[in-house]
Amino acid sequence: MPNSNPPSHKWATDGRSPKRIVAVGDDAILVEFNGELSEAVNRAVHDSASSIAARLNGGIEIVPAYRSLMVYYDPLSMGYDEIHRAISQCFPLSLKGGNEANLKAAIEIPVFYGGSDGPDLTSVAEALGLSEAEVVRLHTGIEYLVYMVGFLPGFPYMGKLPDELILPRRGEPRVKVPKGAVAIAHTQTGIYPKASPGGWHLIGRTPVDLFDSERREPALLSPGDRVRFLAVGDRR
Amino acid sequence: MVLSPGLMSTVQDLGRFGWRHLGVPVSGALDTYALQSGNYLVGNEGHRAGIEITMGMAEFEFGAPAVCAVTGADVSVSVDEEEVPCWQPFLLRAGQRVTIGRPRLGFRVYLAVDGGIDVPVVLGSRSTLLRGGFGGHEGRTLRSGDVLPLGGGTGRNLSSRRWYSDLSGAVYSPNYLAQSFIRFVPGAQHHFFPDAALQAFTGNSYRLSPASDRMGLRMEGPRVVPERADILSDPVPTGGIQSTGDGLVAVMLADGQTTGGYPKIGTVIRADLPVLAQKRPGDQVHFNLVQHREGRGLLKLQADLLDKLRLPTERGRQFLLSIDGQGFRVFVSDVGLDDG
Repeated sequence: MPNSNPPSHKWATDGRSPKRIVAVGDDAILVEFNGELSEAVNRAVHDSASSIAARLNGGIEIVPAYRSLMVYYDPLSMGYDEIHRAISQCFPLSLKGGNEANLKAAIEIPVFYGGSDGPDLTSVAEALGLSEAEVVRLHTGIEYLVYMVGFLPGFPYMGKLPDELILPRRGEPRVKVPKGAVAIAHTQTGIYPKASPGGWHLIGRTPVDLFDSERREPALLSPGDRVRFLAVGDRR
Repeated sequence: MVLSPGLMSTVQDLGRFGWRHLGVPVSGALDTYALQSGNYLVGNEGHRAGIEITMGMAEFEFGAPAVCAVTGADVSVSVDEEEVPCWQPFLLRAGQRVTIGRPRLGFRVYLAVDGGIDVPVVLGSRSTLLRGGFGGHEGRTLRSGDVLPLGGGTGRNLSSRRWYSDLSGAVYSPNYLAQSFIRFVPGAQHHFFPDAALQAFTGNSYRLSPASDRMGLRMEGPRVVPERADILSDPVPTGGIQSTGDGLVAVMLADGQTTGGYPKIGTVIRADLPVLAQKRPGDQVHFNLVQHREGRGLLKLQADLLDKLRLPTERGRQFLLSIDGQGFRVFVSDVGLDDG
């Protein structure tokens, strides 16, 4: 191929540059990567967030998601072209930089599994052809990446679950999932920071407060954090 | 004190910024234009907290003298049964009651008070997030008997004579209440929708469903079905226009989720969010596609209009002095004389 090919073509496929950087509102610019949900793509999102935050240094809000992030800015005080240019200049991401999350220790979340704390553990084990103890062992066996925080203040979407634990959401969502419920659905695991409706399978419950608006850092888990669950025995 | 909160009243300022990455929506007044106007009319900075009153029909009693303004929906307002105009500042003595009627046009009424409603600041804002149960007054809607702290503004400090900043005769006419078109820019999955679906979306009118709240508005009208609906959740801006897999249209508002997995047709321009906030269930709107540069231009125009309300306090101040029921306009400015 001749050199006239725009570099963005190469960027889009190397995983270190987004597919597109596009205005999706008059105060919002979406940065979106190619590919399906994977740890590598999601890490690129968090690295981009750090890089953009460092370059723009305040006045903006960055919201990471699975394979995209949104940069919100104040169009009355900042120019679109200027911000778009600054974001573009962050790519391709440096391979050595960023990845701060890789260096941080995993945050440990104690969980009471099964029983009234995890009312779906039995049906989950049955559906997966495993014993309850095996489900717990698999769930606590690896570290998870917090892909993003959404749905409710402080709700972490984490993955990827071991293949043996993958199953679709519940056929019928619950009207009320209790606060602290540890749940799984598809390839992900999450924790309900507050009682709310929800359609994930509840396998346990943590006494840890995931979100408290009175704390300086209100959410226990931030996008890009690593998490490990610890089974803390049976309180039945 | 809240004597009657009407259908639903909450304390709101201009929003809680900087926490969307932790799933905390911005919240704040849905009609930011009305709240900011109200604040400027009573001599506040624009971001002070006021009360958002859905569908009016509320009553408040003041324990201390205050300067107030009622903005937003076009509504009758009275102080101890004497009518006062909306979009104008007025005075209240301790013990007086403000009664807000049922809007003639529009849906959300804002009560601004000099000094603002001084509820605790939570994560940088006084806005109520009902779904989070925090902010505003105890994280909930107002009830009869609630007593709200006032910030202590200018009016109260002035002696027995009542003063208030005046709108310099330029009575503002809130013509945006009658606007029936809503402009939007293309959203993250605009290209997922076939041309015919997009034409149906902009070519027909939509009716606000009663199943709407501060999180979002459900729209009744032709379905807008995307070619593919299997998207990975991505960030949802305020004003995001989503289509559920089966084509139902909803517009996300200030309390909406920060991320979501429905394809997004577009985003309502910020300048038109106040227009949308003033529509009531059953009202019809038309969606018009514009370019994002145009959206920002219109936002700038709106900001300039708001600045006009604010101007007198920057150059000096206009006051209306009321002596034995007679009104006098007084303009006070600093002429730069040194003491002595």
